[in-house]
Amino acid sequence: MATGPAFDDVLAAAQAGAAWAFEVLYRDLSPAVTGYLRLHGALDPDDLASETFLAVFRGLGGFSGDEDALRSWVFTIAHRRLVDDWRRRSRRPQLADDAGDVLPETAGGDVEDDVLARLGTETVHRMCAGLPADQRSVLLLRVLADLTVEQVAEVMGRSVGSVKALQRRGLRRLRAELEPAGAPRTGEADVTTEGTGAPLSARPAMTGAR
Amino acid sequence: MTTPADVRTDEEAFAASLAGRPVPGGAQHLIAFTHAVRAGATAPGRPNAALAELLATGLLTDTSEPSTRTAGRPARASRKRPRMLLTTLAAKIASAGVVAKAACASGVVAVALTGAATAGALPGQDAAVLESGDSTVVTGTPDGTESTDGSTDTTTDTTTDTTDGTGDTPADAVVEEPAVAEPVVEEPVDEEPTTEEPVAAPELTEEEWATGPAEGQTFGDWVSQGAHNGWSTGQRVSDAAHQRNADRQAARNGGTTPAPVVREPAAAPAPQQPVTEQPAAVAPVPAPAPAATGSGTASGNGNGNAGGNGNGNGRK
Repeated sequence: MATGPAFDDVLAAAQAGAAWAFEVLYRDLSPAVTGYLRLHGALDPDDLASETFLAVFRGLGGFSGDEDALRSWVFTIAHRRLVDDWRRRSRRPQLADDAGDVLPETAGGDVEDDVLARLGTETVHRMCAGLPADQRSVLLLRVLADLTVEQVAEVMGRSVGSVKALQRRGLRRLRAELEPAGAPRTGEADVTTEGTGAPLSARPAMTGAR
Repeated sequence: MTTPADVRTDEEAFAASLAGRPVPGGAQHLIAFTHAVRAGATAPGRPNAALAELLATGLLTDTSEPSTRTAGRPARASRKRPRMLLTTLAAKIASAGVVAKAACASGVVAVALTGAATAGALPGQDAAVLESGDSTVVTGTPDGTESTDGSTDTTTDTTTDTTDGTGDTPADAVVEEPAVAEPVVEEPVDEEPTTEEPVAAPELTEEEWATGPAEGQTFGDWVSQGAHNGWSTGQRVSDAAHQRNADRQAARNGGTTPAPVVREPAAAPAPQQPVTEQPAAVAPVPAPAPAATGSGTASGNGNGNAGGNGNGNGRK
């Protein structure tokens, strides 16, 4: 956490209701939370993130733990808000196009540079939209929130083994999407069994049930 | 081609990239994906109104001071009360019978006429009535101590405000009263002449002081004045006391004790012999003038309180 003062001081001040401590925590955690909600296809990620932080700041008095625990707790609230938003809207997130049609076919020497050149913000959105919601949650929580597998399992209300399996499948799907053009995609059989062809879908499993 | 080895490689590369360790070859696409995801989540979200207010003001956990919302509730209730009274009165009148309406109307007319007659007959007494009402209010509210100052109106206002606001703490009242004292800034103008008096006091020389108490000055003030200036000694005070007692005694006996003559020996080094001699010589001459001063000092012999009042013994 890039908080200027010591985390304990910031946390104590935030628990006392100090505005500056709220500002520090919000500035540190808001980008990741908002990005997590945005890449999940939330219709209004800013408002959802605001609701998340309102709940965080109002419930901060009963929190105890270190930075990692706070981050895990914040993303737990964000994930629940997201699931509630899905339930309330009862419709699937946007950006349901096929990612394979969007990625440009560019030739290049270095694989990483080529992939970076092909990856833009919109492309990342489409690739995340191509993942099932649970796999997307696992990967985004791992990347954006820097949570461990155990913490992700706690956030999502799943077992550690289930989270590991979801991560493995998501990585396999990403490899299939990001492999250079012309390379054989033998893993598509597995992908189709996972995603059933729908690029982005909010299945019942997205509701966070165990 | 995705093989189980590739999957294992991806997992290791993914964990390495998250931990910041060097990533093995063949998994650059995951690194690129990770970087792209993180790059797209660098800007904080735009807070809504509620969160913006919370970030600006924080959570006020201190409830000692009344908030604006809680302070506004009584005013809102007081605004509703006249409406409720009017609607209730209108409903009762509408539901009443003809006789009741006529009686009510006659009562209203009678009250109006009585009020008009009273206002016309006693135009000059309104102010007096209002002033007396103010005075009763002021005397009823002291509830402590400080309202005995000249600014009684402001103190009563502040006390009523604090009692209406919330459960008033004594600390609040103490804090507010110095603010009330601010309007009484004119009084120090009167105090300045009083501060000049001590300045004039040092003009008194030691010889003048040694002559004894001035006219109108008590013996105690005279002693303290000398002690303040460092002039009073036990001998001088004792001499002056003896002289004062002698004057009193002479006033009782002859009724004439010339004060200026008495003070001269007090200033002299040998005090007592001239005191006995000079009053006898001068006593017949200035009878009336010292009598006035002598009577003022010697009139405190009240021993006549022996008359016990027997209380009643309970018989009818």
